[in-house]
Amino acid sequence: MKQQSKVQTLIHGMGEKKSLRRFKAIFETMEGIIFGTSIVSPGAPHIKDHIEIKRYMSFAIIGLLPAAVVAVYYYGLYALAIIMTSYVAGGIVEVSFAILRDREIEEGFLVTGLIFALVLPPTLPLWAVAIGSVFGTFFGKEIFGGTGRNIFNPALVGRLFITIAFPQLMSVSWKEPFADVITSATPLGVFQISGTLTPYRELLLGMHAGSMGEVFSIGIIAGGIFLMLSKVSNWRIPVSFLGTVFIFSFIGNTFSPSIAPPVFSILTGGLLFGAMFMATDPVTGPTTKTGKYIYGFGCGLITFLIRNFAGYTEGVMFSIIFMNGLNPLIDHFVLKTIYRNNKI
Amino acid sequence: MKVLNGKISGGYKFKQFKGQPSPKLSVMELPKNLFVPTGKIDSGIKPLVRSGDTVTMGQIIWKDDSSISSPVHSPVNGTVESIKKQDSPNGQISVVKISSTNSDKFEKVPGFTTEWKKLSNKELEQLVYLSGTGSLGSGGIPTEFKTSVINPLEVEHIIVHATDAEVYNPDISLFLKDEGAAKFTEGLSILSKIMDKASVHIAMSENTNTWFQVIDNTVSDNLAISYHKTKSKYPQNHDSVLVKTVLNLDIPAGYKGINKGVVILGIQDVCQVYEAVVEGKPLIERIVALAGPVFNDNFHIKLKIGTSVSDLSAGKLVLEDKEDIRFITNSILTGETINYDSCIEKNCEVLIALEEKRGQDLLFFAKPGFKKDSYSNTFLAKIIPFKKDINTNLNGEHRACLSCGFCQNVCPAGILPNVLFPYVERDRLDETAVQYGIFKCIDCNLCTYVCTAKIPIAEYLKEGKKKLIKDTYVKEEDFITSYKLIGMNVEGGTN
Repeated sequence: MKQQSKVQTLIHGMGEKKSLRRFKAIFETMEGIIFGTSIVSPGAPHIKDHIEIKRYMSFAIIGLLPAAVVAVYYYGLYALAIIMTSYVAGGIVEVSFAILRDREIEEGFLVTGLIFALVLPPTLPLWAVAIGSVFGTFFGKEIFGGTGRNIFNPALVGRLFITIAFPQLMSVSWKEPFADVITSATPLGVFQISGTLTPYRELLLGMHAGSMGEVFSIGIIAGGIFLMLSKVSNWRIPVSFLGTVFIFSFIGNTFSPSIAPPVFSILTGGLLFGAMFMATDPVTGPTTKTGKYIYGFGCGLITFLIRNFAGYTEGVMFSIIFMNGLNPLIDHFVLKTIYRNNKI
Repeated sequence: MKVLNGKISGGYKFKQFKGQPSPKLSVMELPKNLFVPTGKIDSGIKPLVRSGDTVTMGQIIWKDDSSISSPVHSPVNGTVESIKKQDSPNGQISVVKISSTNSDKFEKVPGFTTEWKKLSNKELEQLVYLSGTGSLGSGGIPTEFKTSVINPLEVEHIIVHATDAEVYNPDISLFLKDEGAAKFTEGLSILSKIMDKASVHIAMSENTNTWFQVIDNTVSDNLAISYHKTKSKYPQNHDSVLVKTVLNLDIPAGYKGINKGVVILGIQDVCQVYEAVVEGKPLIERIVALAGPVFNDNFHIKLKIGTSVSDLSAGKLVLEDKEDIRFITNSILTGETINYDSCIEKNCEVLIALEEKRGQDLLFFAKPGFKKDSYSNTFLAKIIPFKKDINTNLNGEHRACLSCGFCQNVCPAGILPNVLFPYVERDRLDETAVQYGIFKCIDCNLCTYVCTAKIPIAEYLKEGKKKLIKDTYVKEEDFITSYKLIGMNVEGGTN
């Protein structure tokens, strides 16, 4: 191979060495990240688009950055520690599986690791973060075969696990930005107990208790729109998800004041974050356009029902996981309907 | 003059790539040796010349009256050196090697005349046939002499297009400027006389449609032309997409325009019909656009059919420091790779040279990407109009499908490539794939181009279609020329 630098030859050579043969996947990943690919197209089409998964996932991370940076600003270095713990714990699982399968480390993990950290309460003990991250990566993704083959959103699988395993931790670890006091009430909780609405300004800026990445609504909206404009995420799911919650809340609130009003519903809890960054995960969502609307509608409906009529204060996580499971079925029926007239 | 606006569903606009051919035309010096491709060996028809024979420019050296084909002429004066077998996408063909000598002798097509209007249709058709121009276009120009799968009177529409859909397109101003437009419209009149019942359509892109007025000004007689302004999106130039845009007709899977009575031609093709009938020039020359940044200079060159790529790229034409070059004919998306020994064939309009980039691109995914083309909006090239880099690198590594949906969005056939390809990849082909429209695929390869995970989707679909026909999930009779068509070859026209 021509045009290879010494460093590349070195890294490539390391992977080929007998003693390091076991870690070949890691060296290949390093080579891939630093130098790109040396493969050329085998035939027509002779050229290829420059988008690839590393770029794609990097953009997802850029979209998450406003929420992540503000989380660290609001909750201090402990938020950073949570993010790092999530990455390291999940990373160990990811790398072990890469070595085990002798395949390159998959990029999807970079997004999962960050999303998982951002949906956690800001005072969750680090050991719980680690357990959730390991569980999510292992059972949410690796057992299905890695990024692109998983059925459920791995970050949500991890969060669901710690919600069920450590309910105490997950319900009393809330904290308002810059505060030292631990509270147990998020705006949704406050509304359900006393019917008090947190002012929209505070909801937009995130000056209230909540999961650390989910409070800063402005940043989430900006990041979400950025992803849609760059075509990394599809607008159909967030629009139908948020739209459904809005419409149901509007109708519900008109008839019964115990149901949260529409704008409040959208700005509280994990709804914006979930709609912008988790429901839009292309791997675990439907592939057909109609399917995307149905999926978003389902997510919205379940979120609305759980929030207003069930024991849990927040329903976004459950709704997305539930719809993840339904999505092959949605696609199947959409395809059968679209193509019902095609002769066989 | 009325101009209709053409629509296309899906598709992708390739714009601003480096190495666009300029409208400069030069004539290539006579090469020492030419390699003229003739007919298939299994047709049993041998070249009319033997090695050692002296040939005249314009002399017919291969002809088959029994099957659909057009005669092949000697492009130069010289001597036949050898006749060799060579593999081609259509099967084994014999290639006549001619060593050229400098001489002005020229055997013109018998019977050519400026007074072609006085000729009978049969005489006109014979001129088209004998000149070899009957083989031009996507499915040949029908005549009574078996130049295409249908007869001239079965033709309902003639579409001439300059759709600018590819990454590199020939510059049509070369053919239409000055006298060109008048010759072009006269060529159209000739075709319209031969194909009496056909209506004539011209489709041009947003960039080229200023020529409509020029063409319209030169139209004489009763030639009625309808003008269509199309989007310069790939694959607007593919038969089924073009026919859908211009005529709103559906072409079934496996069929070409010609099978539905639509003759599809390029601007140069029509000009060459004029030259054959009025000037007696057989099809021995072609104007070819030299495209791609590997060429030192990008322009158009008039060359003899049969010129080898090595002769063409000799001298200072190709950048010297790029050793690893891929030559591609006509289309970057669907064209074939040709090597140094191959020759320019009569259907060649664009010759593309790309660098086989196997080198490194340090931390490529983190760069702003001022010169990187992408369907997604993740590179700055989308906002900043720099000329874009182009080479054969995959620009990424193979991964599992993410269902990002890019392939669905660009698919001109409106099918879901990401749903279909797993049926082939996992070997689970059955009638479901047929129901989901795998046979609507027109092999434009756009899904493979945009794929984030670098999966050869189009390749899988192609393979799937072949297998489905083989396993008789669909009847072969449904496909007029069987699955050979799926390999992008036409059973008419090109011999």
